[in-house]
Amino acid sequence: MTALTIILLISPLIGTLLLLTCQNRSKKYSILISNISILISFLLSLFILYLYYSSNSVPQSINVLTFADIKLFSLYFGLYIDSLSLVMSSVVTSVSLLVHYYSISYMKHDRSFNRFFIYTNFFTFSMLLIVFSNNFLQLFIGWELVGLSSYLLIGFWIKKESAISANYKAFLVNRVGDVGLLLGLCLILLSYSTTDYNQIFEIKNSIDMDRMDIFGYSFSALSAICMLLFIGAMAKSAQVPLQFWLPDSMEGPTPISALIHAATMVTAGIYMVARLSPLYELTDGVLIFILYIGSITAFFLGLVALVQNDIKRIIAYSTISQLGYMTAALGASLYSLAMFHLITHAFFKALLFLCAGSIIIKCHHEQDIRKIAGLRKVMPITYLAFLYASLSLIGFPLTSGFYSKESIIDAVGYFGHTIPYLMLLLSIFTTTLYTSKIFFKVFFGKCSLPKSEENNFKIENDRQMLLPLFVLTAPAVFLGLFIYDPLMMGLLFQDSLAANELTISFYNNYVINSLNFFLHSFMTINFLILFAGLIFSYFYFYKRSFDISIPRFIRAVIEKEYGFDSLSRYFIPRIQNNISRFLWKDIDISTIDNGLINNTSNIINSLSNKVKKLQTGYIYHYSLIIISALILLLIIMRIAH
Amino acid sequence: MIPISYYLILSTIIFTLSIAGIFINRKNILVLLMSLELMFLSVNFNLITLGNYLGDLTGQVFVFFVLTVVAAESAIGLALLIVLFRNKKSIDVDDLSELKG
Amino acid sequence: MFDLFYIPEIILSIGILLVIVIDLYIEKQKYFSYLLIQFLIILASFYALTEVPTHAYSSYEFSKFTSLIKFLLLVGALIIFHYTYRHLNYLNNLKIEYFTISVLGLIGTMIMISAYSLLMLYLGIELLSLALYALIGFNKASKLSSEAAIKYYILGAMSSGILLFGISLIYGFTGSIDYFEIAEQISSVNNNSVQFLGIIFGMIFITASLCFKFGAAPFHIWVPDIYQGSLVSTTILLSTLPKVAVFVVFLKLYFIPFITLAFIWSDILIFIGIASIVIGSIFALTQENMKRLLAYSAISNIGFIILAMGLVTDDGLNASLYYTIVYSFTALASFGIITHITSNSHGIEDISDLAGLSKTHPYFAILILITMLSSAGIPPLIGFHAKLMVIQALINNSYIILSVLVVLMTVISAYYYLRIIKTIYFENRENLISTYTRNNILLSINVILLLGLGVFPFIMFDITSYLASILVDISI
Repeated sequence: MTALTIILLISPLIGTLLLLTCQNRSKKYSILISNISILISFLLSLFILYLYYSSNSVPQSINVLTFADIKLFSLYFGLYIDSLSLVMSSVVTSVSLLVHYYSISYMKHDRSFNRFFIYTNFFTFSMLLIVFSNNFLQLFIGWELVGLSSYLLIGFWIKKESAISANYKAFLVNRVGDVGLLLGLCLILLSYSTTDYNQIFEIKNSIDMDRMDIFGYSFSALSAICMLLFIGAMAKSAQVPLQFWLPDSMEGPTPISALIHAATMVTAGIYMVARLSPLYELTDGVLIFILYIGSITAFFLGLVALVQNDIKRIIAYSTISQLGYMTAALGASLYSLAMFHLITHAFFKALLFLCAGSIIIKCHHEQDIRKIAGLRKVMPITYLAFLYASLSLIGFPLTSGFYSKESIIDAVGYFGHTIPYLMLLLSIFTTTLYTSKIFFKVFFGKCSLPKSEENNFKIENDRQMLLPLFVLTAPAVFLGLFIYDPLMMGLLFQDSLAANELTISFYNNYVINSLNFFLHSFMTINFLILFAGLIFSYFYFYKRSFDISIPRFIRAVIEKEYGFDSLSRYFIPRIQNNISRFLWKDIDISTIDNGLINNTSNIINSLSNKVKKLQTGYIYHYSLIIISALILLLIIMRIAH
Repeated sequence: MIPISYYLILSTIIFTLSIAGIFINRKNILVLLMSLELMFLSVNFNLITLGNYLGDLTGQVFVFFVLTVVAAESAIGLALLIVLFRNKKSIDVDDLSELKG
Repeated sequence: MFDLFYIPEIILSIGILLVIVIDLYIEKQKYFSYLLIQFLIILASFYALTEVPTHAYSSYEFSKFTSLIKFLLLVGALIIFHYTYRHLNYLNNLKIEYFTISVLGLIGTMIMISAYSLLMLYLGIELLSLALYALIGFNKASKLSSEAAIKYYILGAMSSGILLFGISLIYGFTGSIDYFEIAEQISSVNNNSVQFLGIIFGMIFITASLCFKFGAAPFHIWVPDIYQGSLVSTTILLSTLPKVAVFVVFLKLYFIPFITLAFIWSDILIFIGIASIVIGSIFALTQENMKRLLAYSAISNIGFIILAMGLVTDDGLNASLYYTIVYSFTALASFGIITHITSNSHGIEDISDLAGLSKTHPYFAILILITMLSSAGIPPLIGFHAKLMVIQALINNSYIILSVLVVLMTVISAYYYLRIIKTIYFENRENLISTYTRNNILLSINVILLLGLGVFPFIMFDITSYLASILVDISI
């Protein structure tokens, strides 16, 4: 199993290296290499997952390769093979495979076609590195590598001004998170002197009592570690207040948005917290913080999606909001529910993005939904796929999204977290609204396409673009139904996640089974809100039977992302500019460069020039120097003796 | 009987003179070679005196070796001097200052 | 029974006399004579390794330590001759006498290493010096070469005189020239007697002379002039073989006869070491001539070796051995590269002659890059470990201020090494740089060793600690 996992992991890396070597060859090579390397990973993931469950294996942590071994700690490349990592890797590789396949058509007119596949293959490898890592250093390496590939892909169109500033922003915001992650890593090394997950899990209880004193404040070391690591997760998973890079990252190609900014990379933070759930379970304060951050993100960023008009930005805000649900589930110690929503969300959100990509291509890179309309007849397949994805997103009963999202909401309520429960509940309404907004505006009404294309049903889009839509629809809609019961009974993730008993008790006392949950849901307030949302949007967006004027002030606040927008666009750059200018002009140039460095070097240089004249070239001077040196030695001897 | 210290002082004076000869002389390289010879002679003188004083033959044997080596050394020195004269048409010490700095 | 005929010195001496005679008859076929000499050296190095008698004749010593050092020297000579032959051939200045004289100098270094009495030491040093006088003046047509030769001759003879004077004092006040007997005598002398003073005077005279041969400040004054004036092939010889031999002489003198005087010579050596490092670094900054710059760099490297030796501790000894080997490797590489390059159909003189090398000869540019980085002490390379060991030894013996000074000087010296790299990579001038070979395996191996041994420094640590351990064997 280990050997297979290694192949699974390095297959995309080998793909990347091969792609690098044939960068200047024809597109066929790129397509072949990239898709086959991901296909290998995908098939292996499924196979190993099957092996794992069929042989009733136990989680194992294997150190494959040692990089460095010093007294303080060891740095090695290792694998953590358990149900959690295998399920995650299956999700990652399946979405990655479909996105790769989809991109063949989406990117076919792009000049940097080969470069795109290098990046995506490399991204898949980095993501798998995170998924399978069994120690924090490897996690950190993978974390940085996905950050790098994300940076490269957001700025993939290097000549597009907005893309450059977007990837710059994403990079900087992620640095903030990385600082947290790195500090957490340092603290782990300091207090555990190991980076291995298992070793830390074993001694977590003894360390739980350890208290640290910084600036007179005393706090638990473990809480500090978990808090710092969560800051890293906040940046990566776009949680308030580090969320504002994600909508801008939509400047990248749409398949990338589907792969990185919906299905995989942004969920790395969720995955990390779930992976470290035995630690987080011990820190109540941090969990509460996570719960509130998650529910605030879910509600308020969902509101922002309402006032957006760019199709991709709406979906991006929706992603942030859904990530908020997952974070809230983590905060309520419902790790398996968070992972469940992560999985279902990965599929239906990837599907949404791929549909959006299909629409964008059809409309010649028009992304404003006010200018797109009436595509239902022109793009029937995309229309259906979008419909199913939307139903899943809003949590329509029986869909995947219904099982994962409603469970989270109900469980948060069931365990008595009232305020987060209300926020999550309300955001069902907003979710329904912004989803219907896209749906009705894009697919209904008078067709916005030119007449010549309007009736051209036969070429909705390339087959390579439509096939992934088909394939993704299945898990996006039905996956939840199939894995809901085993998951809730704790069979899917077994011992990989902590606090399974919470989920199980919720299941036994509230859900009972998936069918019951489905029937029961029609009588809950959740469904009422959902239904209200649907009715409202039907009349508001489709029939346009009434018009609501939101007060300008509130609208402005929401449009400005509660100030984060101006913060990130205006204040932070300005403060940063001023500080940088001060450091550059006053500190660096005038004090350090001119004052210290240049002066010193000038002094030493002139000294060298002066003393050089001692070397006169005359033998009599030389002999005199030698004799004086001899006498000097005699004097030193006299003094020393 | 002349005390041993007189011999040593004499040889030291000769040694010092020869060194002074090297760095005070600013005319001719030949004079430098002469000073060097004087230096080795002072050392030989020293060795012979001390060997005699200690009643040990090593000193005298050493002198033979030194004499031989110095003879070879002078031969090389003169050969180098000839080469130098061919190149520079001068054996002035003051002209030897192209290599400096 | 150990057969005297097979010791490397005898093989070389008899062999080289034969080569001189043979060369008279086959004057035209220089390559054959060259191969003969190389064969001799290989033979000698073979016997240097295989025959390790632990027997010390009076005044001459054979031990594992001397055999290993001799082997290293012979291998070094082999490589140097390889470079030299091609270099001289390219400059149309090939004479087989150059090699015979070099071999005589090589025998001189081996005698110095094995010497166990002051007489043998003197003879070894003189044999080496006489050979070097001739080699420096070898380029007969050049004014600079003959000037350098006469300068080295006069100053060298003067230092020989100082050495002899010191020897005569030691002889006079201890009654012996044998290392072991001198050690016994010194340990029984009263610290305040005239005899003691005489011995110390003698020791300081000998120290001064050896420092002159070593090229340590303030006796370094000849080094840059002589490096600049002579051929590159002579410079590479000057900067490797004699340094190693003099270093061993230093070790043997200070750790056998003069060991009881350590409280005096330790201070003196530390002074000389620091002076060499400072002078070597400061003077080199504004040099334009490549060989002159490397001469000053050699001075500062010698300073590190002497400084480590002056600590009189095990780690200091280890560090100095380590540094010596690393220094020889680096010098071999840096001068070796220069022997391969000509600029405007002359040998490399000024640093600016190398401008644009990276465009025309990237292979050599890379070699110089690695070598210079190693000299500057940049971490993954071996020069870093060498400097680190010396500084570590300093700190261990609580010479904190000195270690700070040494680090500062290392930073300063990094400047001129990097300047060479800058010239090679970032300056464009129309130089007619040419080389007589596209690549050289020996050179590549040499440079790769700088990198490889730097990545795996433990190999060298083991070698030097082994050398140090067998050095201690003989001193007891």
